Amino acid sequence: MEKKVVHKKLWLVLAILSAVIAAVCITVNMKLQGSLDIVETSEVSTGVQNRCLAYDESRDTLYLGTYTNKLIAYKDGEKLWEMDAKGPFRKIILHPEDGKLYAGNEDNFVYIVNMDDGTVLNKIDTERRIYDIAVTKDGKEVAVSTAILAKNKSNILLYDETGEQLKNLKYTVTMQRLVYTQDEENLIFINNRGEVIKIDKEGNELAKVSGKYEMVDLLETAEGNQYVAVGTNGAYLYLDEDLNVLRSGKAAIENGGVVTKAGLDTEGNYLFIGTKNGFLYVMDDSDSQIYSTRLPNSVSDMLGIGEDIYVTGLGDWVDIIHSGSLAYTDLATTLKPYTQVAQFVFPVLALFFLCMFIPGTHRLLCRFAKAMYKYRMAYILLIPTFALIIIFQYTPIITAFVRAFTNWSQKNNTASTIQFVGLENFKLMFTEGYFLTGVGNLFIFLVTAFIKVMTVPILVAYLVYSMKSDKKKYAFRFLLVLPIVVPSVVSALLWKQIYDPTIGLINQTLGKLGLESLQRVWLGDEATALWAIIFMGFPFINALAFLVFYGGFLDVDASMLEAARADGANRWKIFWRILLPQIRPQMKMIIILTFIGTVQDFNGVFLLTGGGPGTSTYVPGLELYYNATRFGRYGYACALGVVLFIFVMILTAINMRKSKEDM
Amino acid sequence: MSKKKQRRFEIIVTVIAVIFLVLAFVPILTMLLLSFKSNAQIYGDFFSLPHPVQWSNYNTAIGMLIPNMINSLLVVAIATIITAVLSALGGYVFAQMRFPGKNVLFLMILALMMVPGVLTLTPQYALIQDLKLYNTWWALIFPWVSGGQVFGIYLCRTFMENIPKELFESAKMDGCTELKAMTRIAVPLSKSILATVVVMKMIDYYNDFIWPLMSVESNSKQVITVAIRVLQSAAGATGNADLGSLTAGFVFATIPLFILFIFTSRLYMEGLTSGAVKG
Repeated sequence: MEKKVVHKKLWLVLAILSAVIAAVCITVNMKLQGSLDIVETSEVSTGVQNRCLAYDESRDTLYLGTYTNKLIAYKDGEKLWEMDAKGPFRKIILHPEDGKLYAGNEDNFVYIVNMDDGTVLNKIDTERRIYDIAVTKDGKEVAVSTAILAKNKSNILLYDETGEQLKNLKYTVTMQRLVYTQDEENLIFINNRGEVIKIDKEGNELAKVSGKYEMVDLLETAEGNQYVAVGTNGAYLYLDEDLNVLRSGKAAIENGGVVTKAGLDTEGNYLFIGTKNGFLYVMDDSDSQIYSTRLPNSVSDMLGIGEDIYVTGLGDWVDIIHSGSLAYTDLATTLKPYTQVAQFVFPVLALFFLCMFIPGTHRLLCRFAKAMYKYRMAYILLIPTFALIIIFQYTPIITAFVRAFTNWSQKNNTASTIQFVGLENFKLMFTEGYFLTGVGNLFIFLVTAFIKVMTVPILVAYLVYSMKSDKKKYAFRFLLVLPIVVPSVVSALLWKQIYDPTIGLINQTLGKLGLESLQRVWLGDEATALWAIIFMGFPFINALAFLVFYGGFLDVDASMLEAARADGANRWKIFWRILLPQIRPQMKMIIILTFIGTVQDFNGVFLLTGGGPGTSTYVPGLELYYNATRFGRYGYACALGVVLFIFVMILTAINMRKSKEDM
Repeated sequence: MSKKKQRRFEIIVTVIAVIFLVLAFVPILTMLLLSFKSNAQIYGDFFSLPHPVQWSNYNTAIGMLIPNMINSLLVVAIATIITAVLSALGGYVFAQMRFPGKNVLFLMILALMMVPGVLTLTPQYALIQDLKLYNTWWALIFPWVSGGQVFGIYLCRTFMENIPKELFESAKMDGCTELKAMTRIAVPLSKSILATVVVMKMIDYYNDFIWPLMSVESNSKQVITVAIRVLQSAAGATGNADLGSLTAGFVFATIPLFILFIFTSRLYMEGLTSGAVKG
């Protein structure tokens, strides 16, 4: 008896202990979440795609060069001035002491601009496409790497401050980046053959090191005595003045990323590597990767200011990464998976121990455990199946329903940024327009799909059913089903070819028949595109429907047919009065399947027209796909999925119920 | 009904069926025709027979697409095998074993048949990125199998329920374990339905296009359907497309399913015509 009391107390102690641990884990996890949010989004918004940036601390001004030919200066998030050029800006260099800004632009000019008001002081015409620029500290000399791609010619050009060309060094390999050495007597550049080369101003090669990968960026440390060359695959080299390799490392680039830009903080603690698909990797001075994150999209420029790194890329965003807290991030990233699991496990454990403590539930649990043990084989065999459906089906379903009411997007992708927005996404469907257009088209697709599947397959099934010899039946059945071997993508692309305005089968046939007046740009014309997609697959022998209907005909009771024939019914009557009513269950199934299939399907539209011309062939499924992938508006895509799901559910339920009443 | 009338009807039926057949084969024949012609031959006279026959189109197409074809065959094979194993397992458990919660669990699986793919598309896309599966074959295999097994389990359960229980009971009396009863008795007896599941799922997986397009990025890992599309749009973008080679690629992508169908057509057609799938 006494032993039992001790047991009971033990359960209580364990329950309390677990509850305490659970509480600790939850708080720690929240704290960790905070320290992991080292990316801050700045308020600066150009409204267009950014390309490169620079920041001056003394003026507290941020300079942004954009793809759309503008150079804009911001102070405290307010626009100070802007300046126009004829091409996208490539690189900005600041000389705060004399208030000059040097900007290399793809319109072949290097602009020298007054930092305070944006007036152009001078511009240097290089007559070639600019890849990178470098400026000496006194501003007396500007080095430019350029290329004329079509002619496979590359140059390094040196100019004085007035724009007078001092030197023209010719190369046949494209030079991506260049910098002056510390004494400004020599230049170091990288080329697309993966070489880092140091030259003097006469073009004599002084030193060379080659990586086994294509180089994409060359950085100078804040002290100016070290250089970092970064390759497209994430590998990098730290080099000294004479290009001796001091150390090297490699960021573990995932997801097939290609490095576009790298950056250093001015403390020299970390190397930041950004990729084309918007990932950012941080390497510490022992060459281990301590952090990675996903940014809105492709990274195009980075700038270290003290401990902070300003990052921008293709899109209207500038993010600031606080590298000061990166040291803790390392610890936080290792800890987080454990605390995350623990914060769910320990509350469950606490509940379990509590249940064991209370006599009633204690007995229940024991019975449950016994049953589980007795039938353990069945449960064990089902573990893989349920693991898969819970992770890859039920979790996404629940996520879709919950996140449909949030601002979840590629940008708002962490627990702290996803916010509940009520019915905003659903309202958007009606105000944005694409969805409504899509629903209109979907309606046409649905009606025609029903007509297609309820005519030809039934007719063909009847034809084969009416044939006399079994061999002939089998041959026709085989041949009629055979076209399903063409993969649906190939089939769609084949139809795209058939609709081709010049060498498509339809227009060619019309031309042969002398009916040129009927030729159309079938997929490029708003009037015909939708119908062309509907017509795809002519003569609409749906193999599945055909076989199912055929099977239905075979199941019809022979005695019923005999009786009808004896009564003198002809084929026509037998078909309408006996055969068709007998395959009602099959028809019901095919209608439901066609309905579910058509509502979801956007393969055909995607491959043939991509929704165009204009929005004339948009369907909701395509809208969903675009939002999930191209626009990264996950929340809205989920809301669309939910609406389509409910639509399918309601109509399927009505269909089932109606056919039940009919039975 | 007179014999003459009967014959006339037979002729009409055959003629209409042949017309449908010919129409159904028009795209396939066009594809075959174009795949043997050069651009000059196509633009010169679209309908002419290829002369000389451009076998080199196939060299070019297969040369470009063979890595993707191998990817497709491998990843589809892996996914199909897992699906078949899980279908047999699940089918057996739900058909022949007794355990508490059986109905609820089966309903959980069955309910998934009602869920359209578009609902889960976005969260799955985000999920595979969170799980770091993006741009790996697992990003294809896991979602395919998790959804594909549902229909397989349903078919296998229906089929295995009809195997007499006595068979298993007597086997167990002889000291046969549950696992042995399944692998030695249930699976061999259900070969035909498992083959149906395998064929159907192979076609499904091989045909999938949107999901590989979303979840696999590098061309070296990409499956054939997406590779074909990439080739086609690249050809469209440059304007000087080699149409013959492109269509030869279409034919190449069709071959695996064609071979599969030749060997399993009877099974596939029987499966669908017999009452296995009925409303």
